[in-house]
Amino acid sequence: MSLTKQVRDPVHGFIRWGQNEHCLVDTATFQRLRRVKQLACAHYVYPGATHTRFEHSLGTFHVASRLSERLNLSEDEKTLVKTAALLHDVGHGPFSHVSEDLLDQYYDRGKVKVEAKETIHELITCDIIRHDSALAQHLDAGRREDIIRLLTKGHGDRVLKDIVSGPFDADKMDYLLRDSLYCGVRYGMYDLDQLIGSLKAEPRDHGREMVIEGDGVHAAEQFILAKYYIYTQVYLHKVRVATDAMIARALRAGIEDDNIPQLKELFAYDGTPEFCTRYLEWDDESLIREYTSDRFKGTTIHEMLGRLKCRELHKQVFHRLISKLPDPAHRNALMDMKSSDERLRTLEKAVVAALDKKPHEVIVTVYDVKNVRRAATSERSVLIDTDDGPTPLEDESLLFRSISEKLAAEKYLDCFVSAAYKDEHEKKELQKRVRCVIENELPKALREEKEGTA
Amino acid sequence: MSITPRTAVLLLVHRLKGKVGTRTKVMKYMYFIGEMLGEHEWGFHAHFYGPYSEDVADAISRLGFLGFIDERCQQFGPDERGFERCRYDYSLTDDGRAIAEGLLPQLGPAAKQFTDAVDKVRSAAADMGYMDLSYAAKTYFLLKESGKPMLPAEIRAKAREFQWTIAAHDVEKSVSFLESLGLATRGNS
Repeated sequence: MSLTKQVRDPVHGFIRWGQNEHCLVDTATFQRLRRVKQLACAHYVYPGATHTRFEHSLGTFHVASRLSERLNLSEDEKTLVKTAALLHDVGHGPFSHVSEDLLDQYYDRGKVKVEAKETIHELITCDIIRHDSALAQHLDAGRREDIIRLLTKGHGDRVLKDIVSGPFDADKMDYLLRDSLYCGVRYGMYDLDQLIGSLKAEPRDHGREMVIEGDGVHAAEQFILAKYYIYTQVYLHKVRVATDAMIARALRAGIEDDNIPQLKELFAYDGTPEFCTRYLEWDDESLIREYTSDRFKGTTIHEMLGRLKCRELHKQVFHRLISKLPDPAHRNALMDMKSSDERLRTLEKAVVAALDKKPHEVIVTVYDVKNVRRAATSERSVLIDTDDGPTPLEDESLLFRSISEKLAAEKYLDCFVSAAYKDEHEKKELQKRVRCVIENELPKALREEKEGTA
Repeated sequence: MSITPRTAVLLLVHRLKGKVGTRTKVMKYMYFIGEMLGEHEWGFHAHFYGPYSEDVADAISRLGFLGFIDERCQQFGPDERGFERCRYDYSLTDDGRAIAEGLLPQLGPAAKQFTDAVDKVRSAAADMGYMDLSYAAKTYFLLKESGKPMLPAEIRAKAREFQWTIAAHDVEKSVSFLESLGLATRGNS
């Protein structure tokens, strides 16, 4: 295969690709990822975090290439894995994960059946790969279906899926290093060379599977620690969570209060190729530009996105780990709650009344690590090749087990308010007032909880 | 009414009067109960140790963090690579008991179906350790995957494809256990 292109990447150095990948990168569909930021508005707290899904996709492609070599895939398998890695994010909408929540809320339930473990964002990715005419010029129908299978249920040997989606996949290997570099933090750093060198493909079940060599446990633990630190220090940073909450609220207001049909169409996924065409017209920049234009003056979305643009951010005035709430019934009810739940709107109304604010100036939300970074929830365990035979990593490493469990269990209840305080005293007073309102209203808001969910 | 993995684990620990034993045992109980109730959304798949669900594992973790179950680690000291070995035991806390007892009436007929299934597994598994349950879970998984009757030797051969080892007497014991749950029947051949 001739290597026709190379680019210099700040994380990996030179990234090289062949003619076919070059054609895919040059499509408008892929180039759109240049206008979807990797971490939405994280640049409001980490000014360097302006990197996009575009360079992350190239980085994921590069790491997948290295893993494919290391794990001795066949030439055809390598091509498939690398192409899937390159295209894995083409379905990201404006502001990435914020869009996912809106899609989950507004997709057309009459036309689309979502199976367990599927997300709308993943269905859109598959639809784009299947129907997009620009991509289709460079990928035949059979290959497109292979990629879709690999990105969803898996295709061929398990080791292929391990590279594109698993605890030690190319996506995470790239974004931990990339997000750390662009945010200017060291939390997500780990030894990529050592980790890749510790992996091998072993025959298991009906094919090969990714396994960590016995002496690679510490490289794997370093990776897991990096993931933990970047989640807690970057992805869960209060300003980042505030901006995500503001964007989500602005978009919901645009749909429900301002009744903007084109905005509803953007998130009303119906499984048609026409939806994909519309969806691909939008990115972070076009969405902000459109809804802060004079055409939408007087609407709530215009006001909220306008504030966001000027970094007039809502302040976090209430922040609780749900598992630490005193009442077990509240802990139980909130643990399964989504940020779009009407009972949170009840809490918001109480805070709005108490502080004499406009409705959109108060946001009560719940979130966990999965919300803020969409960690795959169905990640299967990875095996360590020990003298006693292959053993799951969680059995070999208490560190892995502890961190995985902590990340699975952490969920927060927060309140953000549009406010300015003169000093620390005023800030504390506001926080105290909001805490009182939420603690008083929470039992009332949750009283309707009669569902059989624990 | 479908029951979430978190509700199911909580009600399981409650029905077993607090003491359940190891995480493996919880996982296997959940697997058999799910199969008896036709719950296909609990996410079980083939794992190194047999059928396993990350959703159930997450549910156990979340119940621990919520303060509804108490997780105690019995340390077995470090292995040859210096990693601590641990066996986890579970019991229900007072908060967990209150939540479980509040949920049962809300679930209606599903609660009785669930507790009946727990009782059936408990009774059938009375003299079985977690390894026996693990063999039975693997046997059932293989039978279900094949979709047709299998001879014991075929089950053992199929198990090797998953790198599972099941001895002949373990297959025999497993099938008896599955029969008592109504999950398998024995033919004449």
